[in-house]
Amino acid sequence: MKVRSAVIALAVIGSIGCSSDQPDFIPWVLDDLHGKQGFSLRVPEFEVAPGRESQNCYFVRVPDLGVGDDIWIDRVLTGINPGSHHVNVFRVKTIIDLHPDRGTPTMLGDYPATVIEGSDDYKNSPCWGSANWADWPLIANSQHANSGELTTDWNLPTDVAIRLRPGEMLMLQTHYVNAGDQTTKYGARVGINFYRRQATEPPVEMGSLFATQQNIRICASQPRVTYSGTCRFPGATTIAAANGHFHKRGTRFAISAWDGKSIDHPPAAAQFYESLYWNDPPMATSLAVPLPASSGIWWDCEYQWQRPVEFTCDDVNNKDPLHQGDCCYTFGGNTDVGEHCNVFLYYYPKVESDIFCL
Amino acid sequence: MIPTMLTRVHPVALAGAIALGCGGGGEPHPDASETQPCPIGDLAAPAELEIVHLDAENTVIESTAMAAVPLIQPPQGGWIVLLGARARNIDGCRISLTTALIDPCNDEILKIDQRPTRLIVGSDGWGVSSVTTFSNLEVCPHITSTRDLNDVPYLLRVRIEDDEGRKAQTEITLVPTCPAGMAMCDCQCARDYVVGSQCGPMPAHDSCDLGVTASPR
Repeated sequence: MKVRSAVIALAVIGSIGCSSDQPDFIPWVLDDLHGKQGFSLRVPEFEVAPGRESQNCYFVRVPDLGVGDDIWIDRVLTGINPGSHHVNVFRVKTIIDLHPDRGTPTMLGDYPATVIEGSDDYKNSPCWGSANWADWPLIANSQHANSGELTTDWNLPTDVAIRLRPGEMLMLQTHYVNAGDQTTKYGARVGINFYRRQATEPPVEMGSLFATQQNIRICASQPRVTYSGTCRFPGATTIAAANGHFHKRGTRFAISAWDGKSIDHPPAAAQFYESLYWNDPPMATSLAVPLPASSGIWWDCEYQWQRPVEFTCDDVNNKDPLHQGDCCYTFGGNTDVGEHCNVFLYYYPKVESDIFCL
Repeated sequence: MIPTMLTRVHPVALAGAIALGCGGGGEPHPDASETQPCPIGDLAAPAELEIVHLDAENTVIESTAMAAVPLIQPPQGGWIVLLGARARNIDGCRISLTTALIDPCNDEILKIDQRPTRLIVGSDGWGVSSVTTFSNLEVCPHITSTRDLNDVPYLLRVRIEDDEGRKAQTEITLVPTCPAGMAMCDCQCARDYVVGSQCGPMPAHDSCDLGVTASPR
């Protein structure tokens, strides 16, 4: 049985009275899932002050839906208010600094959770750190953030599904920006529905690949730069979905199929993903890119240096571990003073572990 | 051919000069000029290239065949080697550096890193990658490796190409080597390591016969 959320209705009513600058803004509405339908996570709504960013880490366990040890998810639907930089859901593995039990109790919809509010303390909060990326597999993500596309509806390929286990710890990370050309006008509000696969025959398991170039430098004296990397799959696979992630200096993000044999850039025809927008990158969800064994992906992050908007080059320089004094943006989560070059990719069949290229 | 010595602005000095005008913030538009060329040697001659690497103290070391190259732990986890170029007859300021980790037993390319590098001219007329622009080549863990990644030889291929299309490529067999006593490195660089698993004792595996012997650490 589908139940409309009263919170959503209130949000609709509330927004009518306060959205004079964008009267056509219609808040997202997601069904609330229960029992064998799957489960719904709802992040408590919060505000992001002008000129600020906010990154929060929510920990919640996969609920027991009464369907056995494996919960197979074949559709992920997100509803996200504008201003979101990303929403990522990870499986929690090796813990480095970011401890679920050190969080503040909260609720994600019906489910008890904890939250470590990173706020905009990108220098100190473990929620802003990247150490756990080394082995926390991504389950789902969305970077959509514009008022014309509040939901991301990812239907997995036929007979392919994500496997979750009751009790498994998940981390849902939100990152909102309310500065420059990415604004949070309507409050930070995030919901995710994990739809349980209803078919009874065993599906093919979906895996994820997380690849990143963390040793990057976008400097004033060398303003136009490109960083690229490769990541290989051990067996034959099919890429089902992908999206790229960078920050304000990012001008183009591309992902191509790579044969695993050549150090030459793959031909243009091998490219299957491109993003020209740092603040609202597309997510390709209908891919069917076959890759033979021992091949993989090649990705490119292109940047154009520019001054920070909310901070100064002094702040950028203070963050530079090599102290070059050249207003060099280095790896970091805050979009104004740091940069990223990350691939979020989903493939099947899953190999023995998820894939990380760091 | 004797390389031509050319005067050029040191990148760090140039960086400092630009940074002086960089403290205000609040301007969203680019204001940096395009990277200026800085020819090294004779641009009419074929580009020449040798491989260098960094140790954990950021010391530039000329790479020699079968030498141990230190595995370094970066902030993102895992273990990397930092490779750079020593080159001439090329534009040292507008240059792309490509490095690849290759298993010499089966010629499989395990990993490629590509990035801009900047060559600093030395008194010998050769340019060497500035320490901030060395390649960050991930070695381990690696899900597709069929051999251990620590203390066994691997092929490192390096290519440089400037904006005008001048390029050079070379390769060398090196021995990625964990820091002494670093059990986590030994574990994560073992062939059978699975990301996220607990690190226990890992058996050493035979390597293929390359007909060479690794240099001692």
